[in-house]
Parts: sequence; C-alpha cells; structure tokens
Amino acid sequence: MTSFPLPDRNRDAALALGPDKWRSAVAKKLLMVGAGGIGCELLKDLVMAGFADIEIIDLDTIDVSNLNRQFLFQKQHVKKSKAHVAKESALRFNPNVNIVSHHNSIFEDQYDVAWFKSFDLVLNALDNIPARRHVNMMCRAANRPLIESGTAGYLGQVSVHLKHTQCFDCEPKPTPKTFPVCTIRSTPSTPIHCIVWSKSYLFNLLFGKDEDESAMSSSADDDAQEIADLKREAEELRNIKNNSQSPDFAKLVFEKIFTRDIERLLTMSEMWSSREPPKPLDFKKLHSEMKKMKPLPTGVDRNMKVWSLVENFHVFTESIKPLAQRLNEGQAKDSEFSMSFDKDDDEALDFVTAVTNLRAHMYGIELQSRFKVKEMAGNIIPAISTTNAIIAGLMVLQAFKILNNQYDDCKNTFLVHGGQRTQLICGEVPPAPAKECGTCQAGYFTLTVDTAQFTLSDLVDSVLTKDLGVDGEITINESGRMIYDPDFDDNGPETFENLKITDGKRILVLVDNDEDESKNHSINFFVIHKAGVTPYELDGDKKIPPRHKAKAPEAKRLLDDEVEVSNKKSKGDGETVEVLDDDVIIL
Amino acid sequence: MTAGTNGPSREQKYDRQLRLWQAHGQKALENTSILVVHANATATETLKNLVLPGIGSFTLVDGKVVDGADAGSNFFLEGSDIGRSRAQAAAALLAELNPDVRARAVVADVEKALTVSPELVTQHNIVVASSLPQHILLPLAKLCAAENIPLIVVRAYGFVGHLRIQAVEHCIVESHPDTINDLRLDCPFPELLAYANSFDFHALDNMTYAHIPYVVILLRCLEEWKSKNNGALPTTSPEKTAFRQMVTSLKREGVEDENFEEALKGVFRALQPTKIDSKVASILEEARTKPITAETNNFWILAKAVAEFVDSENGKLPLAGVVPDMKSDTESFVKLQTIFRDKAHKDVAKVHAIASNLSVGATGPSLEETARFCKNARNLVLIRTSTIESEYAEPYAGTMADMPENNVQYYLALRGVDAFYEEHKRYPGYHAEEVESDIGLLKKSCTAVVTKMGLKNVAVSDDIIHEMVRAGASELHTMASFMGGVCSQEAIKLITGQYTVLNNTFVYDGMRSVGAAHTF
Repeated sequence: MTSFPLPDRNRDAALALGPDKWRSAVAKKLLMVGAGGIGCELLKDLVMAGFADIEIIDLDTIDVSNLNRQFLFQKQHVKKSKAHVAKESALRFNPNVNIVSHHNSIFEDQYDVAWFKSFDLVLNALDNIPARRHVNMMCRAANRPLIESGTAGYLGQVSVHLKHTQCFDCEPKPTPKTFPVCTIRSTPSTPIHCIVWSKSYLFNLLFGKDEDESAMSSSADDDAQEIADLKREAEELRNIKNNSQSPDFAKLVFEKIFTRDIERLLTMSEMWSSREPPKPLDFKKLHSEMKKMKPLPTGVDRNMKVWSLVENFHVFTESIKPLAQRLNEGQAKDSEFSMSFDKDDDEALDFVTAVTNLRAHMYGIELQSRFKVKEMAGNIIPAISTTNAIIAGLMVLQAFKILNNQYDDCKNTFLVHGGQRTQLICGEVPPAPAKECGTCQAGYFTLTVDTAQFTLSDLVDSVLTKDLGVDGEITINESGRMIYDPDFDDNGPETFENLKITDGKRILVLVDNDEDESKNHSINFFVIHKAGVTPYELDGDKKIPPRHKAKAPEAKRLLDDEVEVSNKKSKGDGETVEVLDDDVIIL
Repeated sequence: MTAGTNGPSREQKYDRQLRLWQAHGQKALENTSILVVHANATATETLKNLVLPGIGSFTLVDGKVVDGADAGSNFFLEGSDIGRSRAQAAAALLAELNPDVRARAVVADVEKALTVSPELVTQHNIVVASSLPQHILLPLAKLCAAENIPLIVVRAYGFVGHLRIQAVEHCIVESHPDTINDLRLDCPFPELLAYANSFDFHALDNMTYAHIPYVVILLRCLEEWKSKNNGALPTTSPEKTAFRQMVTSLKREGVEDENFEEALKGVFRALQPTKIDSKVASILEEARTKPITAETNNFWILAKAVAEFVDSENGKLPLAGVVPDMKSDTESFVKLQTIFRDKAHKDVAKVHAIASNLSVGATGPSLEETARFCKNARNLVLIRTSTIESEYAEPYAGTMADMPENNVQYYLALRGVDAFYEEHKRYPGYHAEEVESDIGLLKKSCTAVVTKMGLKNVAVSDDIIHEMVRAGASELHTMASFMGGVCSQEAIKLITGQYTVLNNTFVYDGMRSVGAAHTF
C-alpha cells in the first residue's frame, strides 16, 4: 500500500471540498436540535466531517425501541438522556471535538435569541411540529440559517431555510385531527374513536390529572343535554376513582363504564333510530367465562393476535390493578402525583388495548391487536436507519453549502420511493417566502428595558410610533393574551412588570392600516430586563417587511398558535406534545 | 445469541421497523446472509444500516490494513486500528451494534478470494461490493448473474455517488401502490349485487338515505343503466354525462348528500373496466408455461395458480377484498367489508388449493402467503435488470438522455477513473505530486471510454476531470454515509421483496444536490 501525502483523519474531507472551503466550514459553530434517529446519524456525520464545535439539545430519554436505529445508544443506556449519551458516544470516536449537551426542552426561556445568535447554523432533527415551529421562529429572530429534516418509513426530506427563502411556517401544516365529543363519548363508529376514548378520556380520568379534552371538540351540533349527562358521568367516575384501593376497583369501573353508562345511553332512543345500539357487557358473566379461559398467548402472539372478548376482559382486570397501585403509591409520596398515557408503558398499553376492544365489541366495531392499538394511540410513524442515514447525509451536504455562503447552490431534497418515481432523490430550489407568512414576514427585535419602569405606553409611543415609525392600529399580545388594542388602552400606564411581561417574554405587535396594506406589520419583541436602563435599547433590523393579509385566517391562526406555544411551554416537556417519531412534514 | 436473554425482546427493539415491513419482512431479513466486499466507509455504513435492523449474518472481505485516511472517513475504524486488518477491525465494531447478528471477517486479497473460492459468494443471498476495480468486479458480477444472487455495486467518490443493482430476476408481491382499487362495480360478484339490491331506496327514511354507501348507489345506477342499454356500460362522453345525471337525480331534496357526492367522484373509477394490467398479464402468461420443479420459488407457483384461477373465473383476478373508507352507517359499512372479505377468502382458498396441487415435494406456499399474493395480484412486479457485463459491453446501444447532463458526465468520469486504474494501477490524483500529470491522463481515459461506448457528441468536461483528480479517490464520510443509506435501503427492498427496487443505476451529484436514475 502506498503511503499518503496527507496522513490526516480529515484528508478525504479536505480533498473533496478543497482545503480552504473545508477549513472555513468546519470552524463554524453548530446547534443540533434533537438527538434521536436523524440526530445520531447527523452527529456522527458532523464529527466525521471535521466539525468540532457542536451543541446538542434533546429533552428525551432513550427507549428500547430506539435501538434499531439510534446507534449511539446501547441497551445499558435505556432511560438515560439522549443528548448526554450521544455526546459521550461521539467523543469516544473523536475526543478532539468540543460538544456541549443539554438535556432540556428547546422551549425553555434560557434558549433565547442571544443564545441562538451564538451559532452559525441550526440543524433540526426533531420529531414534532411545535418544536420545529419554535426553532424556526427563533432562527428568524436570530437571523440564523436553519436546515430542517424529517423521515417516515422509506420517505424523507431535507429543507433549507435562509433569510431569502421559505421559512418552516410558510407552508401551512395539517392541524391535529379532532373528533366531536359525542362521537367519542356516545356514538363511536371506528377503532380510533374507541382508542381516543380509552387513552384521552378514561385513562386520564382514572389515573391522570383530569380529563384531556384536546382530542375532542364540542360544536353547536352537539346536544346540550347530552353534554350535561356526559359531565355527570365523568363526575361519577371521579368518585369511583377514590376507591382505587378497593379490591373491587376493577368491577366498580367495569360496571360503570361498560354496563350502567351504556344502559343509560340506550334510553336515549332517538340516538339509535338510525344506528345500531351498543350492547352493554355483564361483569359476572365474563368473570365466570374467564375462569374457563385458556391462558393468553405469550410473546409475539400476545402483541399481534387480536384478543377475544374474554381475553380483553382478563387483560382489563389484570392491568387496572397495577396502574391503580402505582397511582396510590405515587400519591402517598406526593398528593399531586398523576400519570399520563405512555405508549411504551406496558401496563398502560394493556389497559388501553383492553378498554378499546371491550368498547369496540359493544358497538360492533372491529377489534384491534395490541400492536395496532399502540401504533394508533401513540401516533407511531415507522422509522428505520436507512432513511435516517440518507437524510442526515443530505443535511451535511447542505450545511457545507450554507457555511461557505453558496446559498444559490442550496436545494430542498426529497427521498421518494423507487418504482414509478424513479429518481429516488428529487431536488428543488428553495421557494421564496410566502408573502402572508406571519413568521418570516415579520420584524424581530430584542428590547432591553427596566421592566419596573418601562410602560406599555412607552412601547407604543416611543418604540413603535417614534422609533419604528409604524402607522396604523396597534394590537399587542403576550402569550396569547391581548393586552392592548385601539379600543382597550387601559394598560397604557402600567409597567411591564405589572403586566407580567418579564425577562425572556415575547410580545407580538400587529399593526393594521386599512388604507395602505404596505403599512401592516407583525413585530416581535423579545424582552430583556436590565435594572436601570433608560429609556430602552432596541436591537434588530428596522426594515420590517409588510404583512400581507391575502389569507385572512392566517393572521387569526398566528394568535391561536401563540396560545399553543405558551401551553407547551408551561407544561414543560414533551408530554403535551404529540409524540411522533421522526415524522415527516409535507410530502 | 438468542433474543430475550437479559436484553430487550426482539419485538420491542424492532417495533418501529416491524410496522414498516411486518413480521414476514423481518423474517426474510433475519434469514439473509450478506457478503460485503471491501471494508471502506461506504460498505461499512451500508452494513451498519443492515446490522441495526437485524440481518441474519454478514461476511466482510478485505485484504487491506487500516491507514490514517480509513480512520478519518470510516466510523467503524479507529485510530488505534491503524495497521490492523480492515475487515477484522470493522467487523468487530459492526458486530457490537446488534448481538443478534452473526459477523464474520475474511482477511484476504479480494481478487484472490473471489477467484479461488466462488463459494464465498454463492453461500450468501445478496452481495454488496464497493469500489471494486473493473477486473475484479466483472467476474464477480458474472458469477452473481449466473447464480441469481442480487448484487449492489456502490461507491462514494469525492462528491459523486454511484450505485448499480444487478438482479437477474426479482419478484415483488408487495409493491405498495398508493391505493388498491378493486371494487368490481362494472362486474359485481353475486353476493355484492344481492346486497346492493337489498336496499329499497324509496322506503328508506332520510337519515338512512344519507348513509347509503356510495358503492351501493353506483351499483344500482349501473344495473339500471345496463338494463336499459343491452347490458353495456356507459363509455362515450355523452353517456358518461347522462350516467352522472342519473346518479344526481337520485339525491333527495333537503337530505345531506355526501354519499352521493362520493358516488359522483367514484364514477370515473367505476367505469374503468376491471381488467388485468398488461405487466401482470405477462407475468401470468410466463407462469402458465413455466414447469414447476422442487426449486421453483413460491412467486412462480402462486403466479401459475393465479393464472389457472383467472382462466376459470372469466379472466378475473382474485379479489383484493379491500373497501375504502366512505360515508356510511357502521352497520352497512361493516356488512360491505364482510362481503368483500368473504369473497376474497373464497378466492384465496381456491388459489391455495391450486398452488398446493402444483407444488412439487414440499408443502408449497402457506395460506398466509397465498392471501398476501392474492391481495396484491393486480400489482405484481417482476424486475429483471440488465447484467453489469452488458453495461460494459461496447458499444453502448442505449441513450442516457433521461439523466441530467452533469450526472451523465459523472457516470462517464467514473468509468474513466476505472479505466485509468486498470491502466496505471492507481487512482488519479491519489498522490499530490501527480495531480497535474494525472489530469491529462484521466482525460485520455475518459475519451477512450466515450469512444468505446460509441457515444456521439459527448465529452467529459475539463471541470469535471479536474474535480475527479482533485478528489483523489477520496471517500468523503458524508457521501459514504449517504450512499450507504441508499444502498442499504435498496438492499432491504431486495431482501424483503417489498416496494419496487431501483432499476438499475443511481448517480448522485453531491455538488449540485441532483440525483438521477437510469436503466442500463
């Protein structure tokens, strides 16, 4: 074998890219958000490419089902922080790089605009839309390029979001599916209706904080009397919950939800005039049948085979006990203790599967295997290492372009099936921003004030009117609450502190001008508190793009989203976020 | 090592992938043993993505020892491995990824190993070869073709990726079309027709009327149309318009009409006569005359059984048995599902009986496998790629006009690089002091390739020649990881027989982020 002129671990990378370009690229500082399927591949690729200054953040811990693709983790790492273990594994194969890991939510206030500004490029390897949208907004605020990614099965995509191209929010995202309350509570017709009832309603009422109604929506069509009855039923169930230490707990719950509540529903004859009515279940009968039951299949069959009625009954009685016990033990230590459904919690999944099937049986709906219930209840999207490897590789190729300022060479790339679509990889030039996008067609500023002194009127008069020269009707929102508009200026004299606009908060100002559309603006202020500052310090690009109102609902949606983001934040971590695994955005 | 001893169960570990390729796909993967030639980064990245999901076993062949550049571009070789066998060092680290996988390293000169012991190849079910010189690749490809062992040739060269699949015969049952459409509205089977006729439209109350499944609406309208038109379906444009009007006329004043809107949307599909797609027909045709021996695989046994079934059923394939979601009350929808499912079960039983009779020796395809085949019968795919030998035959008879210009250039440049290697026994630009002189030499090699291929008006541009020489046979980890991902993805499609594999060449231009596929 001939010897190398460059016996250096980065010889190949430097040769292929050209030494100067390689050197200038790898000297940059990167932020990687998410250390899961794509994240493991990405971290390996970045370190192997010679990048030496990387921060990773992920709030998640390692699960067994990650091990088929997240190769930086091994079975001894299960339940440990993904960010920390990924860092340690990466350092083992190259100790000469600087990696900082954060086991935390990217929504935390400490990850502010200044923090985002400390990076040259942000790479998203996330599994949920709220976090993607948040990082996208922070990148806009900090004026930093973002590379976005997603996979689903054999499909995947990488998109590049620069100042002059579409941001992640420019293309509207599908809203999470919701179901009418009455469908879920009284008239289910598909397996998913039964699953939502089991995991979002019953599980939460019995073991959780309280009813999670987020997957249900009530509309004017729903019968008011029916809603009132449902409320009363929920109250009865709460009372039963107080008996969770009773040896009869399973029977109490069963007879309430599968017998009495159904019998009451049957009395509402108009509901069943054009529907097949449900058939209530009999605890005693099933209990005696259970004694004659053959043991439940074990291993793969337990997961894959659809259980019979009596098998579901058996699993119901078996799984409710340990769940109740865990609740009691938890509450003995902390009266606020509660549980939420986790698809990877075997007992919780057993319970939800059994309840789903018992309910489906009553309504003549097809029963489902535990495997299938897990997929539907957990919104699981299949994830494999091959796709993640392809997508991470494409991200790094784009990173080299961005870090060498070759913006015109950047591409959005899509991995598609073989077959009819023979290209395998399709590329497109990143499209121009959507004019009506509330996220990128907006102004972003850091506003440093003494929150004990600075008032809302100071913001309106000095900052907005005088300094930024806005001309139109002003509406001000913070975390989804409206604090000022043309008809409501009572808060004007109040200080930021009194209005609870404290350090780290974001204020959204909408400016409307009926006569001149070019004077409509969305302006974001990230507030920094600094005692003694007078009157204020403003940092940001004062050339604010106009906010087009072509799509009227968009502006409304922006406000709704404010609520959403702040909710996620207040609850702290991924629990409230829909848990999707490396999901795909738009294909 | 068996699963479940101390560690997580297979199902827990493989949960996410089982949802993609199911238990039978996993079984196919676990029964596969793969031969990987060369332990470079592209090959080991490919293996990583096959070891993680639990391929049965792998053999890694390589005679080289680890050097600094290997440790730099290959995640599975470390600085401390320098001087050790590449095959051994990489196999050991790869094996750590998954204790379920059996790993073997063969430390031997690749050329010698392949010529001296062809069983090294034939004892495997699939072969991946990365960056093999032409004089070693061609005999390997010939052997794989003769033995019908799928071969994937893959390479990352600077910012260029190249992948070539050679599969002499690859049969796909589950090609995963976007939708399976097999409602038979133009030729309803008796149970379906009887169900549709059981609805007394006039007697139904408004609520029920709004929930008649659209399939029933269309069937009734088609029957009425046929009775008025000597049994013919609407075919011309005015007839189709009249038919739509007939559907619309059944809407009831003041009653929600979502089901009728679905019916109107379904008219186009319903009027497409149920017939066998020409590609599937040619598979069945071939199966009809194919003698069944003990070696015949289940695909051909089932294809032959389905061909016989079609002959006995007026040219109809077994029913898929799938009903799309539609506006309906639960009872009618479940009933409709049951009718389709029962008929599909009957068809499967018939095909299974024929297949069992056809099978020689062994028991033949299982009922489960037969059911899968019948469900997918209208979407069977048979891929027979050309051989690599024919691709290298001169002159090249085809055209590469379907690829972007740069991808064609890169393909030709890589062929030039290979020709350069055969002549000079080194890669262009490999030694820094020879970069300048190699540019001229590579240009010559490329011109020779283009001339031999007989391509007109094509020349590899100076820019691309420079780029290839500058790359100096470097294997960029990013490109290796990306191409390893593509290679393992196609390998899994080949192994599981699910989804349609690439036929047969993929060239990726990493400078411009442009991929292109081409059939040689």
